Parts: sequence; C-alpha cells; structure tokens
Amino acid sequence: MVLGRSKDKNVTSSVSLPVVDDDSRKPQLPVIALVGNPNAGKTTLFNQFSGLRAKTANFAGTTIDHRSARVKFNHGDAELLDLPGLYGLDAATPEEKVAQDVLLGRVEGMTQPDLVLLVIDATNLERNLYLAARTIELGLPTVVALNMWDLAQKLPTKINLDSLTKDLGVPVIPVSARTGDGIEQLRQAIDTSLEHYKPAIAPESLQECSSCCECPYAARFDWAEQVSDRCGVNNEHHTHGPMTEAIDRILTHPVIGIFAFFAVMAVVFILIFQIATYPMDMIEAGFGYAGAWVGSFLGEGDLKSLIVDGIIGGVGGVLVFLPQILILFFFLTLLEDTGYMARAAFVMDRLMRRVGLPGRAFVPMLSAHACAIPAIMSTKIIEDRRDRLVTILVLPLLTCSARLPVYVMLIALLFAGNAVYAGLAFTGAYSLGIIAALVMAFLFKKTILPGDTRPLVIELPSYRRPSIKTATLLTLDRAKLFVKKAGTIILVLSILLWAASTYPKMPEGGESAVAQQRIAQIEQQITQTTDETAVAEFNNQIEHIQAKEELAYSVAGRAGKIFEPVFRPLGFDWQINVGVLSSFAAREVIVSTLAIVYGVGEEVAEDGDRFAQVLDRQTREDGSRVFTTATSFSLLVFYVLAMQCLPTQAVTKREAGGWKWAFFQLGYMSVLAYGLALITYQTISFFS
Amino acid sequence: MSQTVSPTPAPDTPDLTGLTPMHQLKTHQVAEIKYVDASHDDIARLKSMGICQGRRIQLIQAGDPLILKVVGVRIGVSARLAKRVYAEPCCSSGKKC
Repeated sequence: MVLGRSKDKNVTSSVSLPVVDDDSRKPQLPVIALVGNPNAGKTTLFNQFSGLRAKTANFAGTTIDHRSARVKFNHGDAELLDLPGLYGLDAATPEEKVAQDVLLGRVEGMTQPDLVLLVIDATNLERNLYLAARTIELGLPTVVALNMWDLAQKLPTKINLDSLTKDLGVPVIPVSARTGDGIEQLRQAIDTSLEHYKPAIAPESLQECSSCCECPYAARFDWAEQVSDRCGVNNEHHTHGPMTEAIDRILTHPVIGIFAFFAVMAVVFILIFQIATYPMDMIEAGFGYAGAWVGSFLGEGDLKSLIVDGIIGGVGGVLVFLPQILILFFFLTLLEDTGYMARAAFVMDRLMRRVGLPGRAFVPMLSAHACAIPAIMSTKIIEDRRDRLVTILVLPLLTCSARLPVYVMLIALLFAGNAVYAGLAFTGAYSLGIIAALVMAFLFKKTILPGDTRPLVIELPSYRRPSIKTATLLTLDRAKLFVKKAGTIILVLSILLWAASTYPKMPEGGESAVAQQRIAQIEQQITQTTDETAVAEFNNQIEHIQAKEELAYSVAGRAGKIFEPVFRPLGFDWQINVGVLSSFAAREVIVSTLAIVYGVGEEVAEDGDRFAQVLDRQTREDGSRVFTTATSFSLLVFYVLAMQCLPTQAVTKREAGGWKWAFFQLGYMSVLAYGLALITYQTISFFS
Repeated sequence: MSQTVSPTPAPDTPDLTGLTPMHQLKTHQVAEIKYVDASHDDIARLKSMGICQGRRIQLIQAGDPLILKVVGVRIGVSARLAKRVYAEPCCSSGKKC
C-alpha cells in the first residue's frame, strides 16, 4: 500500500500541498481518513466508495487491521482509509489509539491524512459534534458527511444545514450511506477539497473551548449543544425510538437478558453448523478430487506423496474449517450491525466480572467454540491490556470445531451404541473446556496479570436493520486475510509434518519381525484364494501394515517411542504418542494418524463407530487392550485441554505481542492437559 | 488500578453537599453532573462519551451495570464507575435543570 507523503512527522496541515518523498520514486496517493463515532455508518459509507476493491492490512507496528481502497476522483485517485470508530481523541482501546495516531501523523510510515472525511450521524447530532470539534481542531482539510439524512428527515425537528455549515466552518454534505443518496455530491466536495487543500479553521466559538482551562470536555459538549440548538435540533427528540426502548427492556434485563443472549447465540451456532456442512463437504470433496487429479500426473514416489498427502491434504484439512469461521464472522457482523452486541456485552458483564473478565470477553469466548483464531483476533474490542491478555490466554481451552472429530472418535470408543451417555460425554467435554477457561482466567487475574477488570462503559446504540452488503464485504475481506495468513503457516507446517512422518525412509525389508511374519501369512492366504475381492482386501491389509511400519521408522514414529515414558502414566502407548505428536500442529490430525497407525482405511476413519470398533480391538504387546476406559477418558481430557494448534499460537503471538505469551500459553495448557489426563487415568484405573 | 489525580485543577476536597452519586439516582430521574472522580483512563472514557461536568443525564435502568442517557445516547456504565460521578437531581419534570 502506498501511504504517506513525507517522513517528517512534524509536518502540519497548513505547510503545503502534498509533497513527494525525496527518497521515494513511487507516486504517492493523497490519503483520505474516514473518521466517525462507532455506529455513525462509517463502514457502510466506505463500502459505497470502495465496493469490492477494498483490501485489509495492518497498521505498521500494530496488530490492528484496517480496510483501505483506491478510489477514483475527478482530479485523480486517492487512498480511502477506514479508521476504527472514535468517541474523541482520548483513546481507550488499542483500536482507538491507532485511529488517533493516524490523525495526528504518529504512525510509522504514514503522515497525517490529506483529508479527513468526518461521518456524523444526523439522527444524533449533538453526540457526534464532540468528535467533530476535536477533529476540526486538528486543522486538516475536512469534509463532513452528514449520514442517515433520510432517517433524520423523519424526525420531528429538521436540521438547518446552512447554520451547521457555518458553525463547523467546513463543507457539510447530507448523505445516506445505506441508500447511496448524496454520495455523488460528497464525491464532488471531496474532489474540490483535495484539489484546493484547504485546512479546516476551527470557528471562533470552538477555539474558545481549546483554550478553556476549566474542563475542555464540558466546554466542547457545551459548544456541541449550542451548535445543535442553533441548527434547530432539540436533543430531547433525537433519542432512541420507542422501539429501541421496548426491546431494551427485555434484552438488557438482568435475568431475561442473559437467557435472551444464550438463545440468540444458540440460534447463531445452530445456523453455523447447519449451513457450514454444505461448503465443508464441497471443500473436502474438492481437495480430494484435486489430490487425485494432480496425483494422476505424478509417478509413485516422494514427490507425489509430498504434493498429494502433504500439501493438498494438509492445507485442505485446515481450510475445511473456513466456512464455519466465515459464517460465524458474518453472523457476528450482522448482530453487531443491529446494535445487539453492545447489549450482549452489557448483560454478560455482571457474570464475567466474577472471574475477572469484562463482559466484552464473552463474544470472543463464544466465537472460540467455532475456532480460536477469529476469537483471538476479535479480542481487540477489550480495552484493558491485562483483560485482553487473559482472554487470549484462555480462549484455546474452549472446544473448537477441530476437536469435534477427535471427540467423535473417542466418545464412540467409550459409549458406542449408547446415545445418552455419548451425549453426556459431549456435554462434559464442552463443559470441561468452559470451566477450565473460567478457572484459569480467574487464576491469571489473581497471579500473573493482577488488577481489577476495567469498569464497563459501553454505548447502547439504537437498533437498526443490518446491512447484508456490509457483512458480506467484511466477511470476504476476512476470508482473504485468513487464507493468506493461516494458509502460509499451514502450508509450511503441512510440509514439515509430512517430512517428519515420511523420513527417514524404511529400507527394503526393514519391517519388524512381527510385521514380516504377518505379511507372509497374508501373502500365503492370497495364494490360496481366487476371489478377486478377497485378494484386493488382503493387498490392502499388507499396504496398511507397511504404512504403519514406515511410520514407526520415521522421525514421528521414533519420537512416539522416545516419549513413551512421558505419556505412559496417562495410559498412552507409543502409537497413541505418534498421534499426539503428529497432531501438535493441528489436533484433528490425530484421527488420520491413528487410522494409519492402526491400519485402517480413510473411509473407516471417517465413520466414528466403525473406527471405534477397530480401535477397540487393538491390543498391546502383552495382549491387554490399548483403549481401555481409563485410556480413552484420559485421551479425551488431554484433547479438551491441550493446545495442539500451531496456527492459533501464531495468532496469539501476533495479538498478545510476542512469542513469550504464545509459549506461555502452550506451556500452561500442556501442563494442565497432562495433569488432568494423569489424574483421570490414574483415578479410573484405580477404581476399575 | 492506579489512582491518578484529575489533570484539571480541582479542589482537594470537592463540596459534595446536595449531590447524589449517579448509581443512587432513581430510575428515570434527571440530574446534572457536577463532579467526576475516577482513575485517569476512565475519566477520559466517560468524559468523551459525554459524562462530564455540566451534562444532564437520566437514569434509564438502575443496577450494576446501569443504563443512563446522556447527550441523547444510552450508555451502559459499571456501578463501580457510576458511583464516582456526582450529580445534582433536577426537578421532577426533568425539563430544565
């Protein structure tokens, strides 16, 4: 992205026209910063200008991402920057801080914007004028988009535009970002302003505020009230409609509100799991087809194995979760757009505070039940750094979708044919994750990250119809980001994992004596039959035995044996260890690894009950069963609590600001998983 | 959380006679904010949302957190913070302070 004109941070708006960096030969685009209160309709306006051309990137040196787009104006192109919502220039959250820094020209590699496009909600003028005062005082060329003009027209009092323009001292254009009315006029005003570069000059009445030493906030709010009065708006009428008040009586009720919240979330999650099935099946089938197609061009060997099993299989295995993540993100954006999410944070604050977390932490905690990655990314809404860190640290304890295949396999093993017990075991696994997250959050707040939760201050905006277009565009952006970010990490990991389970190669005839004997037996059986199906089945068995032997010979297999003493107290044998170790980067991999280790085909591995029957028959060298009740429960507890997801760790590093926290997260979760799995195994073994 | 002194020059012991902490207002009661005492970060948050000296507020829903209306917007505020905001209740009609 091309941003910034000059490296001189002290450059002020009144200095000159846009200048080009001396050391930069690239053409620099003028930058327009979109500024406004949260809920003023900034993003909808941004989408009106950008359409599908928007891209998402991080602000330099931060984890805050923002959307920007190259927009055509008559005099040339400009870069439109959608800044996080602001109430004033006294940042409370990291997002507000970065928006403020952009406006003040304090972000590395960026200078102050060439133009501020200030979005004001016309249905609540006085409220929005405080930020307008702070922005105009910056002295940057400013154009005001008086948004929601269509809705304001329906209110009993009408805004006198001439009076408002005079009071603000900058062009004011009434628009409706939702319908697109007035956008053309706004475009012209921006064009004129970019061409003439006219810095905003704060009107005299406003200048008095900044020099006022009593209370600059009160002075500006007084100014906002006066301006609002002068342009004919009586604030008493410009409040929430009766509809919002009536809905809020239910949704913010201390008891009903909490039930309503869980009901809303239950519906969202049911929809996610229902809708996501179709695209997930398509992705799975697509990658399967791609693997087979690509494989048909490659001869048998390591290259085919690398591309088909390592790359296509590995990346496909993670991308299959993309639909769930995106549908979740889409619904959360829609809910946010309606104004409901603020109510959710409000009602949950009372409950969450008891474990030392703010109400805002609840939405990431719910999202984590689909995937910890978007959940960790959404913790930016939490103002306090300690609150945010604690939330990030505990999020991966919550049961994400990738754990489901593992739960299905183990619970089928434990309670095959008993739906009630199986259901209870599922509930138990989910509950264990939630309880562990809350207890750990409480402990972290008492020990390494002590301090009170930041008190709640949250605007409860009027309810309104959400924009499907906005949610779709944001979700598409998010999809691109996820595929790019997670995709590259996953690609590297897939290749590494493939290498660990493939090399060193077993020499010809390197199988163990037991395996060689078994192969010889099967080969003899082949010679005794003429039935083609039986022959194919025997050949399959030989292939499985060889695959298992090859895995045992590889780095992963050897590591499984090395770790035997470590995991023996948990009831795991070396083969389970291979599964645990190979799923270090992505937990669901254990299902396919165990399928290889215990010599079953993929189609069996996907059928929980059939796979469980195969696993149930496995014995140790001494003839005892591998998957006893104690081992199965121990493995289940281990998978509820263990980190086992490298992409999450990469995101933790990014959002928490360092590998230190990612390693700490891995460390404490491993200790917790090991400890509780140990207690589970030893307790059940003792009693059975 | 560190207790920072308000950046604006304020009397050491403000006269709180006749003022009610915001969380003790009655539901739907209108009041004018006279004094805000909170840790530094939270003062800025409250104030930039309009909860500052001279603004009229109305308590919409009591409890913790509570809901109040200020500058035409409903804001959810933790009682922990609300009790640091002192307001002078207005006449029952709520029209003028």
